[in-house]
Amino acid sequence: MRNEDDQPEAERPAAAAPGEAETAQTRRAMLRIGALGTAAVVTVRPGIAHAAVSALTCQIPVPQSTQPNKWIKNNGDVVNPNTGNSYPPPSQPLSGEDVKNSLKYGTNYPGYTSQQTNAYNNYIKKLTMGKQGYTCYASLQSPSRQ
Amino acid sequence: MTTPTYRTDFPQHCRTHPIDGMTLVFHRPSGATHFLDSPLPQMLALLAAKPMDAARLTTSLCATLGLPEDAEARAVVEARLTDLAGIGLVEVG
Repeated sequence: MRNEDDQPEAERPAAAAPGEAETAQTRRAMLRIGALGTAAVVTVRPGIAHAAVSALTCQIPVPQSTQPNKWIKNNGDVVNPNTGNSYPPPSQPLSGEDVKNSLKYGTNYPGYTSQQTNAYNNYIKKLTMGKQGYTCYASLQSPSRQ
Repeated sequence: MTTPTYRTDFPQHCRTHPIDGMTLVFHRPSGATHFLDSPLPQMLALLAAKPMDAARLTTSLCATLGLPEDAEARAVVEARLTDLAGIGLVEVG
């Protein structure tokens, strides 16, 4: 019985040494061929990394800020005001959350008709790399946000 | 045949954060985020101080970690350098 009581204390100094040895062993292990079996680099794809922080807070301007006084046609083209089948753009950039809901569930943007919503969504679907809102749109589509 | 020299501007253009014994690196130029396991952060630190080839890096790394240098360590360092070059944290040449 007495031995059992003493054991933890007796072990304490001894425990420190294996701890240090283990660290050296760990270091040695990472320079062994066996270590190559495990990945030392794990890369998070930019889309996902971006989506995790900003998918719901990012915004998509419709159209680009360099295109003031333009309207959006039902096929998503940016056209001059009063062109047939075109609509005035939203007064504010669309929020990532609204865009996601609209694309996924078909909801209209608050304060806009279904025709306007469709036109805006067609515009968004045509965004390409380098356009304002593209990163936001891309991040909404990454698998983790579905 | 010349031995390739490896260089890095790490940690410039990067945001780093230690996490669970690994190093989380956000590399601004590529916009990618990497989790680096040991000994990659140590390798980057040594290369940042001085560009060198794989053999010299192995010597420095083993000295830093207090480990004996051997052929196995050299092979691992070479493989890890390839990993680092692949993600753009290290430049060859």
